[in-house]
Amino acid sequence: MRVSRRRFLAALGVTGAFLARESNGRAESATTPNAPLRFITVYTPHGRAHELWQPRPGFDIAFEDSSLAPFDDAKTYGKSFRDRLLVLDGIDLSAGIEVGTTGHDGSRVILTGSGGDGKNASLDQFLAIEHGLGNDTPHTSLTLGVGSDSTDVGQNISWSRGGTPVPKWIDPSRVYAELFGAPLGARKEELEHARRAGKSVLDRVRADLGRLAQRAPRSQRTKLEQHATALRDIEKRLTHVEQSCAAPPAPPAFERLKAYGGGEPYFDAITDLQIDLMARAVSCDLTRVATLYLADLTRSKLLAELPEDVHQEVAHRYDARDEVHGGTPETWHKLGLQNHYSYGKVARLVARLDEAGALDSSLLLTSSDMGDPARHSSRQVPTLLLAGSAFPIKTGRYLDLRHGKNLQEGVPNNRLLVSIARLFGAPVERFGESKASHLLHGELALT
Amino acid sequence: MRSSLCAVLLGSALVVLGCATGGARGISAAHARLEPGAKLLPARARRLSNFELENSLARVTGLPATIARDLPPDVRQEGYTPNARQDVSSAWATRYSGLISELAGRAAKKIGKDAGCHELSAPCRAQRVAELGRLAYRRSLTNDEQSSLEQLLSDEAAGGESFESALSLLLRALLESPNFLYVTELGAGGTAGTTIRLDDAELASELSYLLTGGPPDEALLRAASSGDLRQPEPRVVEALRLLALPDTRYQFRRFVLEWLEVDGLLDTAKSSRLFPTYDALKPFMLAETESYVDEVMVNGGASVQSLLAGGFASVGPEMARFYGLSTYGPRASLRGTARLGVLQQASFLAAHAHEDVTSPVKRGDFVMRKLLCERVKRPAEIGLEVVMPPPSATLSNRERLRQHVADPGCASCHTTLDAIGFTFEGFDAMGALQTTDHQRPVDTRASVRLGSHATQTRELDSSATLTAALLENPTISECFARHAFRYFSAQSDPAVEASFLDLRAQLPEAQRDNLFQVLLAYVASDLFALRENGGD
Repeated sequence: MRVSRRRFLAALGVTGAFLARESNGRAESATTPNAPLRFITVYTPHGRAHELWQPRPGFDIAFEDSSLAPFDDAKTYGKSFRDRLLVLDGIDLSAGIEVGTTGHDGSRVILTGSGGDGKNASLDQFLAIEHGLGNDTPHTSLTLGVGSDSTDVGQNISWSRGGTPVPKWIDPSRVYAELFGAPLGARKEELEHARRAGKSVLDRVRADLGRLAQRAPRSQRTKLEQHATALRDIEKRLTHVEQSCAAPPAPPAFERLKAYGGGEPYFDAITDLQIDLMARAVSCDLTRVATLYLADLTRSKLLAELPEDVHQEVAHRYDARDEVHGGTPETWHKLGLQNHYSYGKVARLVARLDEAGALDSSLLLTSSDMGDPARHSSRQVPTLLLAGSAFPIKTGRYLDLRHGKNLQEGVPNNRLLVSIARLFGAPVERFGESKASHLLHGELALT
Repeated sequence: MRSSLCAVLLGSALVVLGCATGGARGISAAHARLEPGAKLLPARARRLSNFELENSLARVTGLPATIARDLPPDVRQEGYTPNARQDVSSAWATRYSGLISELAGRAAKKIGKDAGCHELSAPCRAQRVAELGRLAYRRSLTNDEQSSLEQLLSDEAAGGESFESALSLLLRALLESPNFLYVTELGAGGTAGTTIRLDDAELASELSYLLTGGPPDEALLRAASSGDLRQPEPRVVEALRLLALPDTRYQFRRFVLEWLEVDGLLDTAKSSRLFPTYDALKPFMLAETESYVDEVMVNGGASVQSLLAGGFASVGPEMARFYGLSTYGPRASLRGTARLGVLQQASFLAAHAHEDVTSPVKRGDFVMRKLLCERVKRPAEIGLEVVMPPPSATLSNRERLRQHVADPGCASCHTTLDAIGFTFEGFDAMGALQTTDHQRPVDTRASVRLGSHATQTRELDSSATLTAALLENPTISECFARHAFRYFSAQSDPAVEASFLDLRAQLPEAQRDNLFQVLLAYVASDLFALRENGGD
């Protein structure tokens, strides 16, 4: 599928786009010795089967049934990324637990460190906007999803300052059009006219917004500032009309895109396309901050070995092993397969970044809303960091934040968010919101 | 449905206001006074919801603007799409801009064929800017706005662009402007903590979006220009006129569907093994509820009681067959069936169920939250982790959920939640009648305290007797009004809701249950016209 010239020009008129040269070649590497840092987060559904998620001694993640095996699978992904991986065990979504934003709502907490009533931006938005990581790229940040564009709590990991979710793009065609939208054959004068017209509209819209902001009381400022940020993003794309990175092949259009709305047969392909587009956007330096929300894609029949209803018949039936109860290995195996599938997609993203030479400057965070999905528990959520060499993180290891003890409470994810923010040079002492302020402070020893 | 909402008011105590005559006699019936110190809504700039946006775009462009499905969905507050906290994110703005660019091009072509100026001369530029600007901003343009937009057209003319091209650019500038995207409630401004009065144009927009979900029409803009809307009586007269418009029903339909939590029904699924007909039937389920709401709003007293117990179904042949009715139509009798109103409609029952099995918890939770306004604590708030009762091939759903009341921690909430939900067990996960569950007879009996203030335990044997018990409970009418205010005011603030409910309480008892009467009292009050500056 190619984006029509008319459609592209319509979009460019207001949104801007890139004059990307279509090429079958590899994307030009954006990595230099001082390459800009990138932060990517992937949400994976259904928690984890801890028995198959926890590495074996010697940081063995390739044992039979290991759900982390894709990170040590050179045959499938070109190389092993085991040495890039830091497995964090014992992270709790504590600020959510304090106020009941747990279980299926827990994704609200992953990057915000706040419960459902929090007003702070999620870490990706904080780094992109407040810390300025997204200032120099055409897209301040990129928020993608698969299967759900819902704005409900529990369906988003990216949140604006003020406490509203950042909408997700779930259609690869739309993502492609926004990132690489120039069709073949668009004439230079047409593009220039569209750009000039867009700028003319934008100037007036910005002036109107400025006048409104002057009239509005303080309580409305955060919301209007968000609007101003959106206009700056559009302006950046209007002024950056040239870029050197090759556009990937345009993705096909999918008839249906939503879970429960008929999108199920396409989710595997859509996920791969979203990942590939994200990797290209990052490696082409179209953005330095990106998130991907892999919705609960139950009923997608992604794996022949699993029942159709993964949510009810796999996640809810998981029977964990604990100190007094041996658990049910068959249920571990099923959930482990689902986890393996999700991590396979993350490994694909890592591989794509590596191929484009962008992995060294990237930090990937992967997390879920639950640990034990049968308990809907937001404790011990499976947390992975995949870090490039630009980050002073000691990888290739398993870090048990409970120090091997079966503690009821683990470490608040706020400390991880503080640690990551600091890795990007943001001098924060705390991250998130909670009446239990002790949850918010401190950082993890990742180095 | 051809009849208007005004028909309701013609049959009510407010008939003296005169839907037909436009007179304002007897307005005192609707006067309710705000208590000194009552909490007001804050001064604010509220971004239009996608529904409001479509209506507003259609008014300006003269074209149907079905862009909501292409925009990121609304961010909701308390489940309602009108939301004063909604912002304009980069992703939203990017998508919206692309859609507007395309719409503006089509609209410019259409306008180019309409009567009026078709050239870029100075007088023509001024006329087009003033006309379209007034439609888009829902007020006359300021001199600066007028001259800036005329300059836009002038620049296009100088560049040799066509009339259509220039008009398209003008439309884009108007429709992307925050003056279009936000409904302002700012008045003349002032220092924090002071009370402000909405200006004339804001009063018109506020009234129109409240009752129709769309922008003010020409008559309302004229009333605003003359200053009439500053007084309660003319506001109510205009409100009655708006309620008489045929499209007003979509606003009230949307409210009830969002209140009932069925507006997303088409995005739900059921087990294809257990409920193979669900996908084909769900559009008819939703259509039934839409038609039923229209019928209740127009002819049924616009009350929660009518919604719960209309005693009829508004169905076509598909749903009539599903329900086992011998007739269909807008008022097909439900006499002799287990169904009474919205709580027994398939849309509600399917939306509040799992994919493969009923959910007494979800159904009970709805009754607690949306009819009794009881806040049910989340398990984590009381230190509990949820463990789903294991699936069973032999136990009924009710038997599976016994664990809820066996565990003292769970029992504190689930004793009531589940008991309410058990009364619905006569309906399966897609709303069909069921008499057995896993080969066991369903048991719909329950002992329930309806609300934390209830002094008596009610012995119920079905959702019909639950409905009857709810109808006797005065809480449901106030709770419904509270939720209505959350939708119509686009925010949830218990203190402001208390002000609204106080207005309602001042109405004669016979009028308090009628949603229109309550909203008219609001329209006539200072709670509608005043705002607190600097609040959030």
